[in-house]
Amino acid sequence: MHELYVLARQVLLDAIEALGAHRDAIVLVGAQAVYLHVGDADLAVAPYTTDGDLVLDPAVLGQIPPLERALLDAGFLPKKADSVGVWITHRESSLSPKTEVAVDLLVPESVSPGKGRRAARLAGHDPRAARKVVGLEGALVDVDRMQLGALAEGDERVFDVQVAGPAALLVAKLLKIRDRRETTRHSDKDALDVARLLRGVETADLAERMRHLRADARSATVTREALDLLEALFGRRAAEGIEMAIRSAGGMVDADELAVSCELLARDLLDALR
Amino acid sequence: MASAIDILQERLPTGWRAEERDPPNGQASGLLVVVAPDGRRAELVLLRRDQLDPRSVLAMQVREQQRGEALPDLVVAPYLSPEVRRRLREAEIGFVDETGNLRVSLAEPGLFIEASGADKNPSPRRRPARSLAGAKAGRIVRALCERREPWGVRELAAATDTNPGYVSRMLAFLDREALVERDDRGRVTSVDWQHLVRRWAEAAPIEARGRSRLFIAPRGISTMMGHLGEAELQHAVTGSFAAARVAPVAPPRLATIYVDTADIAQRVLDLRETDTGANVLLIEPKDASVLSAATADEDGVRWAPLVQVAADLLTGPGRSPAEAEALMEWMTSNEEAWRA
Repeated sequence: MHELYVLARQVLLDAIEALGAHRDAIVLVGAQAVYLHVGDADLAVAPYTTDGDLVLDPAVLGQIPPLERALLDAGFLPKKADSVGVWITHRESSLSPKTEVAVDLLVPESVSPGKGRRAARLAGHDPRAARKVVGLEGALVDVDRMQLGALAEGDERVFDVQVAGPAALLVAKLLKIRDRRETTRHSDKDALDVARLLRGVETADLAERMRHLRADARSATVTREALDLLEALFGRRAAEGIEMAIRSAGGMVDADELAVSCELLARDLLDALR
Repeated sequence: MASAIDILQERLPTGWRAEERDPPNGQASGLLVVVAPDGRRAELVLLRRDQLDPRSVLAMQVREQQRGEALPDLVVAPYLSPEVRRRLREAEIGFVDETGNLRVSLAEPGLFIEASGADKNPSPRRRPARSLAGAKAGRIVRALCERREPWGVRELAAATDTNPGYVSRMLAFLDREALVERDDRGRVTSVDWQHLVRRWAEAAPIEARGRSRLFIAPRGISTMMGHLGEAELQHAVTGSFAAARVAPVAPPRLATIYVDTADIAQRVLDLRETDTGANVLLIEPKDASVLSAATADEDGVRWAPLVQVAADLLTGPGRSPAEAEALMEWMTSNEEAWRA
């Protein structure tokens, strides 16, 4: 296993440990959650980056200890003075004695108390401790509990954590692609994560979870938007999302095979939800 | 039809000449004198034959090694089969036939010409060579390759569900082609399995083995292979996947699988028929013994015998031939692992 995976998992566990009092309010999302569900989904492409993404549910989150206090005590720092929800720490690796690993604290926009542009403004916590993000609402509805253990030898930690389900992750990825489409920020890897989720999860399971998301008031809107995006971005083999996934796979995967498989699986899911 | 020597003369570079001379006194073979533009010349000892089989080439080499008889420089015949030409090339003997197959290699004066003519005898005078294309022939080839122990005719017929008459004719053909050695009683004592597999692959390329259809497993081939082991499905995996178990070249991108009924396999494995992006090739074999000869691994996946895998890859698409070479190399160095 790649050294950076080991490091990423270690830092993620450090953050979860530091936020121990708030464990029930935390849900793991992002690439590490995708990996926990589907592995590399039979695609020979390195599956995740070092960042850890944690969603906070304001309805469950307590006020003690303040998030910033817990993270600072555990050796995390805000990435920059004006960062919102980005906490970093440095670890030794073969790349550098001070390899930076980040953990993002995120709050779904529709449940965030903050009405400004970015800061989540959770009561009792530093307003900049967490950032609000569109599309993560599903992580509060489609949730699995999983045992998350360390990958490093000698690190015996295993935590029982909430991990966003594959439907919630699919919704989040699709909305992230949409929001970044207008900018120059690179989101090809998010499209490849969509392909992974489609390939790695049985259609019937994914459809059942999607129905659940559509039926819950917190996630109904983003889920409807995400399914429209799935149709537009992955519903035909020449669609934009499929092209992004192929770019991200960078020749490690046969382009036609990936395109046809995405189209077929996206159509299967959409048909199952009609 | 032009004589073989005429054909050679036409193929010489500008300024070169070739003239045939009668044999010197007391010698049987004629000579061909090749003259370069600058006057340098080479004398080639000719061997003229009405026909030549691979066995005769082998015999020439044996006589050279055991009795010091010189090999000819150039074999001239109305027609030379691909197998004969391959063996002549290996023995570094030049050749030319009336259909345009030609190979001449001289060190001094430096000359190299190679050209291809017919791969089939345009005027076969005797009973054509037995074909290796059929199902029965395939079973015999596999059996011969997979066992080092001598085979008797009746035993081989019983083992391959054929009849002794057929086996006997087939062995005589393989003997003429120098692909097997037999003792006085007609038992097969050794098999040139490398050449035999190649000949079999040429005669029965993978597209001839049955009805083939292309599919995509949308969740990826490794995932599909996982289901294959659990599925109640008669099957035998061949091709890149099977070769990669012992001699990996690159991650396989196409799973080639013999199945009893492709429609059932498609349903059980959730495959979709496609022309683009295919990652699974299903073949319904003409000869069901391909399925019964497969062996299951601990996950329940059934694998075609390596001899079959090599033959299938030799004529397969893309990088299959390279995978076949890697597999045959492994099979050559690890005979004890697959030859009884």
